Amino acid sequence: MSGTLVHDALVYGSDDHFVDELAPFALDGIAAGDAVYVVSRADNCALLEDALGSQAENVQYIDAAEWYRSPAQTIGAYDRVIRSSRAQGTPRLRVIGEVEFGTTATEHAEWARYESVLNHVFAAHPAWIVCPYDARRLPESVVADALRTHPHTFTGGSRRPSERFVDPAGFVRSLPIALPGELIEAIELNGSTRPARALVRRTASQVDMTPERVEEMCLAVSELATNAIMHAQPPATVRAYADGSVLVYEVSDAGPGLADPFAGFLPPNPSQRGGAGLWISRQLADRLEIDSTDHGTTVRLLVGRG
Amino acid sequence: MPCVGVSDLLGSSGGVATHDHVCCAFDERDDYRSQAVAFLSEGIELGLQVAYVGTGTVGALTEELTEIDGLDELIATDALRVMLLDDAYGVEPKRPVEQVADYADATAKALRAGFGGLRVAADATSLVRSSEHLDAFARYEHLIDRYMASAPFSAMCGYDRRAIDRDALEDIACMHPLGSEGTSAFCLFAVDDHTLALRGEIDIASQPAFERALARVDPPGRRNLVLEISGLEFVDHRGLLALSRYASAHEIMIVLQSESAIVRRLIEVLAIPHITTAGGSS
Repeated sequence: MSGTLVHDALVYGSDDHFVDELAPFALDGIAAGDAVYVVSRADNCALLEDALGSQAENVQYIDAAEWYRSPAQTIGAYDRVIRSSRAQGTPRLRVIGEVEFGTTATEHAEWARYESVLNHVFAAHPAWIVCPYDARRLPESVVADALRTHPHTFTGGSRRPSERFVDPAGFVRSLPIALPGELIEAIELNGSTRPARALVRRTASQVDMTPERVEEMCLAVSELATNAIMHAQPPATVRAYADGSVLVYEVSDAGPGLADPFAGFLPPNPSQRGGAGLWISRQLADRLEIDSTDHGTTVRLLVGRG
Repeated sequence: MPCVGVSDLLGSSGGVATHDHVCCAFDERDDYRSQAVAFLSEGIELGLQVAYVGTGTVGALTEELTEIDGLDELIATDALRVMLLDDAYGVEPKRPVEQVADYADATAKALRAGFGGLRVAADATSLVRSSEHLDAFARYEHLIDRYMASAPFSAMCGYDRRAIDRDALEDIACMHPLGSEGTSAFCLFAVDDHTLALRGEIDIASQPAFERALARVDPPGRRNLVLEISGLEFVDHRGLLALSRYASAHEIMIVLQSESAIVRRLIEVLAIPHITTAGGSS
């Protein structure tokens, strides 16, 4: 695991199984001088903490509910951890990452996509991530996807290639956001993004948002509007839809479309000029989906839980 | 459109105390003239020496000031001076620092003569007609702004919209803390010896002017530049990256003074180097 990502799935069926596989994995990491993280439910964190004994304090424990808020935010959090461990001189990262898959089919599909995207996004980082899948709790379809989104499985301390692994570019697909309720407002952009921000401020009251959240949505929609103005032919439009609990902002353009299926999932290089708008919007949105064809691109940004 | 009235401007400071460096972009000369008369009259009330600078003849310029009470007496006692632009600024573009030094000398003379300071209203339209003039004058506008932040010198700069293209006017207006509304989406001005302030909106539309403005402004100190942004209504990631490149090029850190959570979040989300934030200005 010198300079590339190792991303393994571990399907377990009992607490003992979980501990027997992962305590040695963590201890090996500590012995090798890696930065070791456990991201899991509180009870699983406690199990490992117990099993690690005197070494327990050499591991960082993170509550999964906090870490797995949205796929893009988790990638952002990984990116920050990678940068800070590089800055501290321990570039090698060892992570036990137990994804919170949520309850709906959409959430399951989003997090399965996340597991696949991870292979691509951090391909060049010296990190070893083992993702435990609890066969007692997770639906069969989620566990089955683990073998399609991880190149290897991790069992008995050794790694085996997963025959069902699917190349991320083939696995990643758009997971359309349905338009809720009614069209509230639509505007055409004319070179300026100011009207897009004004639209967000006018429509934000459709759902419950703090003033800070409104500013975040202003920024997210403004960044999308900037992309539509810069990279596409007019007309670029911004529309707002709402049904009381969910608000969707839709930014459309008539440009050549986005070829990259991972657009906005990769942390941008800070020194590069532009190109970070989609990343920012993904970091700020509760969900964001891109639908791109040769005739144009439509980005939908969802606020609330839909 | 007349330029914004001075009385409306004083106090519209967006959280930062600003000095009287007013941009007056006008469509009708008489709009500028009446604003200048008000600005100079206020200066006379405050015990400042005032100067009215323009093109044409001294006689015609003096005519424009007839509304001012006791004009002849003021001129006779040197409390009010009428000057031609070429005499005040020269025919060729002057080096910006020299122009500032000239006004600093004039301010010192005003103080020695018993006035509280110097106030100038100048129609500077003809000084920005060529791109060479524009660049030098925009740099000068910033340097004189910095001087005004700490010296008893104040100025209203008139610009005729009909004679200056929009981008050029934007380049000049954004260097004024007052009166740039409607002409530039943002303004960058001095607060004190090591602090600048940025107000307005930086987005795709104002980004080119913002980058031109940064290119004309040297950091006031050698180390950290404190940038007060409580009046910055919006900045996108491109705006922050422009600041980051500026800091890198000048080998400084920029400390953004702001309560804004969104700016902090944006810096964190992109890991933007050379910029930090510090909560609220004192």
